[in-house]
Amino acid sequence: MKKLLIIEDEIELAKVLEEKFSDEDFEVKLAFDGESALPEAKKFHPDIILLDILLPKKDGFIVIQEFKADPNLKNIPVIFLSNLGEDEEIKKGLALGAVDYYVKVQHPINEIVEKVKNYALKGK
Amino acid sequence: MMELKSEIDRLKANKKSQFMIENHKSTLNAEMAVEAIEYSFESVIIAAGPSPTIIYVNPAWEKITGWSSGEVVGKLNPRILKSGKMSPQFYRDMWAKILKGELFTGEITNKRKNGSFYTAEINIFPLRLKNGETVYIEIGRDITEKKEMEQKLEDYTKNLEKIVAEKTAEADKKTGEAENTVRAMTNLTEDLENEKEKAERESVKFQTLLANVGQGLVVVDDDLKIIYINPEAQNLLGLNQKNIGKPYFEIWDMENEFGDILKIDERPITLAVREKKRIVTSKYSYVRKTDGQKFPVNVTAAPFVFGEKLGGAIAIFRDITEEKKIERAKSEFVSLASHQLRTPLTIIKWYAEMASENPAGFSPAQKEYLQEIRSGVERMATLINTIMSVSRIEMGTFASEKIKIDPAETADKAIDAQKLRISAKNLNIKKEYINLHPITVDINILKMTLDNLISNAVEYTPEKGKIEVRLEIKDNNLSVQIADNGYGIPKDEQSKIFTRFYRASNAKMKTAQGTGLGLYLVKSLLEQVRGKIWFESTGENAGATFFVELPIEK
Repeated sequence: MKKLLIIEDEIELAKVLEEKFSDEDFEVKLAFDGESALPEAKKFHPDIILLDILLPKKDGFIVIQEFKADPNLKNIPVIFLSNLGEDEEIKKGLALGAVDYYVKVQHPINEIVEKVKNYALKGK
Repeated sequence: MMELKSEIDRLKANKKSQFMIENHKSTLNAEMAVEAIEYSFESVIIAAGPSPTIIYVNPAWEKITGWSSGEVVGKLNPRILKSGKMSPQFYRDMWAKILKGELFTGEITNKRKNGSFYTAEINIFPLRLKNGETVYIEIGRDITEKKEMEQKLEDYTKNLEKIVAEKTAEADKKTGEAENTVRAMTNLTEDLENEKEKAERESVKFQTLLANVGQGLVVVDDDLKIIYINPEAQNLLGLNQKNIGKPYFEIWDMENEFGDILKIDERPITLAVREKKRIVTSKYSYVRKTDGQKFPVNVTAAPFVFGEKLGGAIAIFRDITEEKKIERAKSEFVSLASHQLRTPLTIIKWYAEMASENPAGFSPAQKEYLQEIRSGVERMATLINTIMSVSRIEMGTFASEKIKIDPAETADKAIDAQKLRISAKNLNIKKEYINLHPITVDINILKMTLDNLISNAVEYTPEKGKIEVRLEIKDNNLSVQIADNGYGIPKDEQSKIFTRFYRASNAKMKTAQGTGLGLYLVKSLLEQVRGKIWFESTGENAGATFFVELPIEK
């Protein structure tokens, strides 16, 4: 069973993602703000991370830098999942080490599941 | 000779004769006359007979012609003297007079025995003798030398005239040149004085302008040393006049957008001097060395030359802190607004999707409602994207991204994005790619253009319709042509088709979808990069062809 950490402050979205991924045999943990992301990741040590950008306390761009600075976490694939869809944001996200970047509203939830599965199976 | 003497004797009585001798005090006898003729300087030749034969020549004649009396008298015709230099008309006139019994006076060129020529003034007249015979007497004076002299004189005169004419022309030219030079010098002097005055005036004007301009201005020489700093630059960079003469890079630093200090070689002023290029940038910040304060600047650095020689560079800059703030605020607004609108939409979208996956408890009608919700969500998502693009264009924050791409690939992707609708409507898509190769263009604009035009063509063409996508690289443009045989554009609405939120009446009838922003967006974007868009449609149901020209970066 692959372990997925979802960092998402919108409860409804976090809930639907959790439900969907659990159905797909993922072990899911949720974090609702930027500050709790790092401790949660250290504790849970997920196989893959879904990371929102606009988050309370710390934004996703800072969070990913913390992951990448941690030797134990830096190899875990991070996928940005945000409704920010400007080119600059996408580029910045990828430049900071994310393996991919999805604009939520532009993808059916099944598509996101498929993509995450692929990255999880590919591993580190 | 003796016979002649008697004949000559008779001459006295002949009124027409030049030999008319007045019977004066003593009697002139024929003998005296013959003696006179013999010693005359003038040549005398007498011929007689129907084909006249020479019967007498005097010594003067012998001397002129080179013939001796013995050679010619009684033997030859006077024709031996013919030079061929006289016209036939001359001889005709001569004989006409002579045969009438009149005196002929003229100038003739004859030939000597040795073949050379001489010219003589001659008098010829006939003399009828008592025996009924007629003799022809010619008295001539050699004027060859005179003629030659005359000719020489004439030639000389002509030559002289020519020389004079030439010299005159030359002199005229020189005079003209001299006049021009004088005029030019005068003008030049005047111009110089004017220029000097003008330059002084300009200089004062310029200095005042530089001193009071609201932008920082620094001039450096070709060694990058400061030669001028205006008050605004001193103010912005915390400088004073003491900095003149020092290399500019020692006085203040420049940072890039990541906060790294730029190398001297990368700085706009250096580039302007070294590469003689005009640099305009808003990416960097100036850092004051005195107190470390920094501010973003818009810098224009340009080289200047004195004659052929590079003089240095001039840099004009202004603090764009406020502009950057506004730009950032605008950009953030669009970004956050779209985010705020998308998040609730995502909630509806994903939950509707989840509901559709487990439709067991739904009635057929409810399943249909669910489907309507989902398609409404998709429209809303598209509308948000479009509105955000429009806002970015209108706020001037649309991301321009010029990269090298293969236009055929971009067009294929745009067509591919419509493949479900294309196959649902059974549309015939014809692609025509001419002279396509990788080019540098604004990719966002090209994508937006192709997506919108192809999607419109698909949307507004009925089932089994035809769409032609034609791309060609021509001159410095990528030219795009999207033609369909669909619903067309009503004539009376054609002028409004690029207006914001405008949708043609027939388009609205066919499909409720559509924002009325697509063409407005494409036109606004193309205008930003000096591209063009126009269309042709002969009216409703006549199809439409859209034409685009997108400039290619070199």
